[in-house]
Amino acid sequence: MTNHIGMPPAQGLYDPANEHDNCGVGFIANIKGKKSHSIVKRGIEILCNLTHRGAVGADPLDGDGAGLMIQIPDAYYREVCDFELPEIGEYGAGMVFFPQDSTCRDACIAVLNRELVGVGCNILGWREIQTDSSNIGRNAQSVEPRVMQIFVDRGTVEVSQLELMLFLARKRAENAIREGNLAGEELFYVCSLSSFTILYKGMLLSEQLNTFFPELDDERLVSAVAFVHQRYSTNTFPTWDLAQPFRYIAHNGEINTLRGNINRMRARTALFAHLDLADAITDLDPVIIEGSSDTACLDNALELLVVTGRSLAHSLAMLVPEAWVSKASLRPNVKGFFEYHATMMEPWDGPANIVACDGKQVVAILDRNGLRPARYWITIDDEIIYASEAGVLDIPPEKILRKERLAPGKMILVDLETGEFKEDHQIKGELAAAHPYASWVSEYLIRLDDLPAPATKRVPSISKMRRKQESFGYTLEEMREIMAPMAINGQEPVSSMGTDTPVAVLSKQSKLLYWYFKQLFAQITNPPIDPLREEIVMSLTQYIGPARNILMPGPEHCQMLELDHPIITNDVLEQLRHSDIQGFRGTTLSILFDANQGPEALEKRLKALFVEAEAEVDAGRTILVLSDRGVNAEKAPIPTLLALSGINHHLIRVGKRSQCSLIVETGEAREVHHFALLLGYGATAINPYLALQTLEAMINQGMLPSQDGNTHADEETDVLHQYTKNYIKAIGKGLLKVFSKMGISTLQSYCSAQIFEIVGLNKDFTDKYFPGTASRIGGAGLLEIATESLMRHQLAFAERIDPNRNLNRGSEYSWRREGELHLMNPEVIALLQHAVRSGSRDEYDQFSQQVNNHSEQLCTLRGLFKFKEQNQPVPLDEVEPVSAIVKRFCTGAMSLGSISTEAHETLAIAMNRIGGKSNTGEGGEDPRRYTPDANGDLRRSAIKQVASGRFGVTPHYLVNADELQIKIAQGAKPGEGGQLPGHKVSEYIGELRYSVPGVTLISPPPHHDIYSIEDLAQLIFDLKNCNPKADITVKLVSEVGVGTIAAGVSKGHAERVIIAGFDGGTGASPTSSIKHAGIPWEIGLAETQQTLVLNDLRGRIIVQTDGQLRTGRDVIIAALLGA
Amino acid sequence: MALVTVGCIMMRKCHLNTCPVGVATQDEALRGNFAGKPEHVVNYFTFLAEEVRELMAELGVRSLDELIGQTQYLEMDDAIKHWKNQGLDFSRILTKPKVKPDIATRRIQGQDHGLDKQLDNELIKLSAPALERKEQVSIELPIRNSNRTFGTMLSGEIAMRHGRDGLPAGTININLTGIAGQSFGAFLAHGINLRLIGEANDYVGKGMAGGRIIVRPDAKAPFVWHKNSIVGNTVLYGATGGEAFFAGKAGERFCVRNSGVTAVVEGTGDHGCEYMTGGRMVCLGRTGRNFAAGMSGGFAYVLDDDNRFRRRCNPAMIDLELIAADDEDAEWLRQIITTHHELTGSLLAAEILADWDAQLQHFVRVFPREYRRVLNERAAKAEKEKEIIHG
Repeated sequence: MTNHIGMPPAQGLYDPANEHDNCGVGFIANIKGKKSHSIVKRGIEILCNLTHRGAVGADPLDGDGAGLMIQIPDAYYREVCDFELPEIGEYGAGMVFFPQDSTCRDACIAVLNRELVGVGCNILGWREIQTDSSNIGRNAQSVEPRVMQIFVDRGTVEVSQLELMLFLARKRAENAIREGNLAGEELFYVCSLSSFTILYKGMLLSEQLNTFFPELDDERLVSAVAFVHQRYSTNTFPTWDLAQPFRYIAHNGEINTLRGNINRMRARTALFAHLDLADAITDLDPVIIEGSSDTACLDNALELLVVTGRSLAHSLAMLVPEAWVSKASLRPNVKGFFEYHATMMEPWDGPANIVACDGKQVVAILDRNGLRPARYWITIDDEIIYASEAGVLDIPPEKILRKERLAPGKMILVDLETGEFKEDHQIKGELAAAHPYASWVSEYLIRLDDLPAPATKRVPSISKMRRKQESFGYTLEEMREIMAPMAINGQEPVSSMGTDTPVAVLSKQSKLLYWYFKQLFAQITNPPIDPLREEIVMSLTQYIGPARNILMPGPEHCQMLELDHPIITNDVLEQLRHSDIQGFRGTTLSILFDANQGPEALEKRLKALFVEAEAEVDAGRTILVLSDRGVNAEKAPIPTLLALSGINHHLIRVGKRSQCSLIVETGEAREVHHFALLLGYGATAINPYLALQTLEAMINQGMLPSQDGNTHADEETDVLHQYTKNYIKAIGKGLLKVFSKMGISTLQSYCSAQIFEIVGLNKDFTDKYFPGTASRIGGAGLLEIATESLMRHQLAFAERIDPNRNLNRGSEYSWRREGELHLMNPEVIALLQHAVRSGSRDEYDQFSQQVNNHSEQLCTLRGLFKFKEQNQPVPLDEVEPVSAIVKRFCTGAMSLGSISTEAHETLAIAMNRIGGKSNTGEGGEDPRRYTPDANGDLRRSAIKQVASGRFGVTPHYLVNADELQIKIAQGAKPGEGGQLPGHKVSEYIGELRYSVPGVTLISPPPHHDIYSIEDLAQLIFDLKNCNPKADITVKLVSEVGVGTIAAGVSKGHAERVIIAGFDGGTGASPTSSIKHAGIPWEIGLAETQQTLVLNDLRGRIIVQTDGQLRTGRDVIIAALLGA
Repeated sequence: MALVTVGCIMMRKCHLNTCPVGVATQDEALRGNFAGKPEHVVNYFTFLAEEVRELMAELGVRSLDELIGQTQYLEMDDAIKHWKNQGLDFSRILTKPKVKPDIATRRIQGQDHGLDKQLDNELIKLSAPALERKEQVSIELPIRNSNRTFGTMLSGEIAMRHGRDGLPAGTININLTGIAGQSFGAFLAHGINLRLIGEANDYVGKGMAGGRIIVRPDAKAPFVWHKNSIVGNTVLYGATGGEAFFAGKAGERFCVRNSGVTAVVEGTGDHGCEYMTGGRMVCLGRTGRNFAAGMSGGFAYVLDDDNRFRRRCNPAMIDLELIAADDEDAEWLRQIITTHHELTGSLLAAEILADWDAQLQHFVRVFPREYRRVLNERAAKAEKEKEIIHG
């Protein structure tokens, strides 16, 4: 992790790792390779015409970063350098940022000189670049680097190896300087060091680029390509090095799978070998410099592939493949190309408009789902102009030969050396023709059918089932509410009204480890995907087997086992476990621990497991099955997730992870969230043997019908088969939903990506077993987790208990006396309703006390706070009046589809009477409500919501609002769309939503005009144009990083931001989303306040929260945390 | 919480339409059970505010503003820990960033949206006769990509003054030349015609309610119109009415969640007509993949020149069918393509019309199945009512 100068260190809830950026990207090139200054000049003009896609900080002169890459302007440098330059191509030129302090600068220069000489180059000299910082912003000035250029002769280095050696020297210098811990070294940064390209960039606004670097206006400076980028980041911190382009690419978008990509790259680094590098190969480690932006990381990965011998187009097609799996029309050899490369590299997934340039070629590529705009023009003067939008240069219409856009997953290429422009079909055809990829795949790729059939079949013994279920914490409620619907309908159950039970760490019940983890979801900086309607981009395919050295690919690289679903039956598991094919030898590790030695025994067993796992890998086992079969009175299961993640990270640490695949055989996992976690922390496949066995028992116990309309009573096994199939199908669908929520489309990239946040586990525990996952309020540790496991185990194996007893009924989903606490139990509801109907303040106080008590009984985080006296109390009559306070209150957004007209209008009238605000929810509003009733009541909702379905959002609706609320996510199901079934679309609702009554209405998961932060700014601008008097509000759901998003929202000029908790919601949502996505508002709100203040963005935005605030105490706590 | 005050008893049945207290249901009978009154809600919020006031008095502050972000008033209550939660540590929640005293910790100023620089200010001035007296006006302007969200402020003005129905068709006619910025004609109101010679970017006609948008290339352009881009991605998103004619290709997600606009285009990218619930879309060229995904209403008519349109569709919710010469849609289609030709000068439209009988056979109608069921039911019902009246 490098620290960024200019960016504050992690503090409080703020973590610089959550920063995002986005932007406009573009280039202009002369296809025939003809160089001119006009190209450079117009490149800068493109930049200036993309200004509205960037953002400014608190100081209007502070930009987020802008940059320009051109070919090395040889003739110009020859004239301005006070030393001789060899022929073009024989020397390398670098653009380097240094600290202003000369001691540190000299030290950095010395290191870079040394490493360049070390690879065989000769230093020609350094050149001070003239810069003019007089009109850049205060923030940018505060950490302005000294910019210098270095020129080196290739010396003994072959021309063909010059780029590789410059790369090696730079890597060595970076590593040495990073490890040297010189004061001020953070500012050292090599923008570019190449014999082909040079990069001018900085923490600048577009129009500051050529005033900061005056030489860019020099007519002698020529290039055939000018490649530019304008950045919009979610912060105001000056980070010069994060301006784009990077050494090869600039990117408009967001890599959603970054964590997994970095982990996987780290795992495979140990296998690197390259003919030209020999032992120097180890100096390339770390390949990816963590702590920079997602684009910088992708640039690191691409650079590695390019300097070690792949072309730009080849490397990009490997890292950002199109959706080839579902594409029937793909040519066989092209499909072979993608399939071959899929076995060695997982997609870097997310919205992406990427332009890459190496000085000889320019390549542009769009992500598989086309989530960023990319337009280009080709002119009769052989010029191509490419940008995030059309019209960035003024070209007379008669000169334009073609106007195109880049389509999803497609590429274009300009070859400046041959003077060719190539389109996707041609580029991929050429890439695929380089090797017989399709026949490599058919020869080497292994499918399940190729493995021998399982020798032994396990016969499940039903007798010990009860005890097993208990030791894994099964409840009747889960079986009835979760598993049965999955088995019957093939999909996850749906529920409503959010959740009001305590988070795991606050619960006094024994919770499975899974409950401490919350799913992350995409908000604004990248869109969630619709896994149902955009299924063509989704895939559950995985590859099992040992990875190989990706730097020297051969046919055998694709000798991997293809698995098309991660949930495997007992038979498939036996196939894998007993596989003895060369390179695919399986073995089993038992993840049980000694139940009678106290909780410490768990840690002991974990340590032993790490050693065993490593030994098995050393012994050439490539499929490690982690199994918790065999639970008995002496042996208790380690939480599967803990064993898995521990082993996964241990193997990464010792550099052996990529040599094996981890498969889980577990009695514990049964719902989608469990499976998502296991995959997210390193499992390739999961065999949920007890869940499958439980389905059988459920038939016997009558919890699942033993027959349905299509089967006969004597075909019980067929029924079971069908239920099993449905259940596995439901998990698959649920998994697609979980990762599409984060904007990820393939399981391959989701695997190991750890897209979760922990609530309630302590630092020691997470650092050791779940490194890289945020956990911000401390909490339980290994001891407590072990204790919870033992609680379950003791319940299961205590001897005095009646063997015929029932399973625990469970009370997570519905309230039950003596069961799990629910904040809104029948007593509380009755108290409140009585109070408001009678108008009795005394009764309200009883309600309030009851709720606060419950909060304290550990239902909520805020229940754990107490007020600290700071001042003397003041007399009540000096405090602002009730009438001022109620104006701050709003009701939640509930659409007229989900609640009745009567309820909706009652809320509106009430809020209008007291001067508060009610909310339309999604779905429009009846214009008859815009004018007051005879008695003076107004049924108009002051807040009009704009959600992804845009139902009923017309100019008339927009102008009749005091506040326009853009709903990015909702607490109950962040990152998911919704559906109003046809039977709920009455005549009236159909009229309000401009739809035909009776026809189902679907709300997409994302706003289709918000795929990134600059898109949000655009929608805010649109709404503000329509109704300049309304405040624009953006509603977010609490999760790690929400503060950073809120900073972007403030920079996007929203007047208000709402941080909702995970627990709200009336609408129908999958049960797992209600329970497992999003976090309490207390954390998100505090993070938002801290981040906005750090950025000096708090002063221009109102922060609100919305998350089951019930009492005066809740309101005060929300205010104190920043609302 | 507010829902509970009007009667919700947390049955968690919202998704089943069986809410017994008439809060979360559309069922007429159950809605009769609704007993909530505004007074109840007012009482709740008043109690809540009173309680807040009393707590503020105890804390020694006079206004809520004084409390915003002041975490020093909070600490963790150690008394209520138990075996599992004792490791909790709220210090990160309670951190106050160390910043200079002049950095605001609550809102003290507004946002600058730069609306004063919008071309629409000029439009509103020039449209005064239309806005005030519904007189026709005609406006000519150049436009470029940095002119974003064109026509929207004017539309807001119309909606404000003239309500949902806006102005009569063709009241304000705006002719533009150049490349329009994003959100061209967003939330367009009834009565505005936008005609652009050049090209447009993403989000054209987003949320448009009425009026007409025409975009066509410059006559001097040497390229073939229907083979080149004319508008960007996510065009006509959530539109509820009006007409749009584009003489060229559109990008991804054309007509996404359209519920009322009639649009003609000469080619689209992937995911065309996604989530569409109403309106009509005519495509005179090829579409991208995954056409009509989640499309529950409205119609699309696509000229399938290579007989591969079926493979580009997402078949989950729709039927594809040919259009017979005597189908009433055939004439409608010919009419709308004629209008497209007249308004844009599209050569492709002219070619299709010149060979109409043959071309018609290549058109495929995309008909959402649920939509068809509902339309049939309605027709049957109307028929029955007619019988009753006449019988």
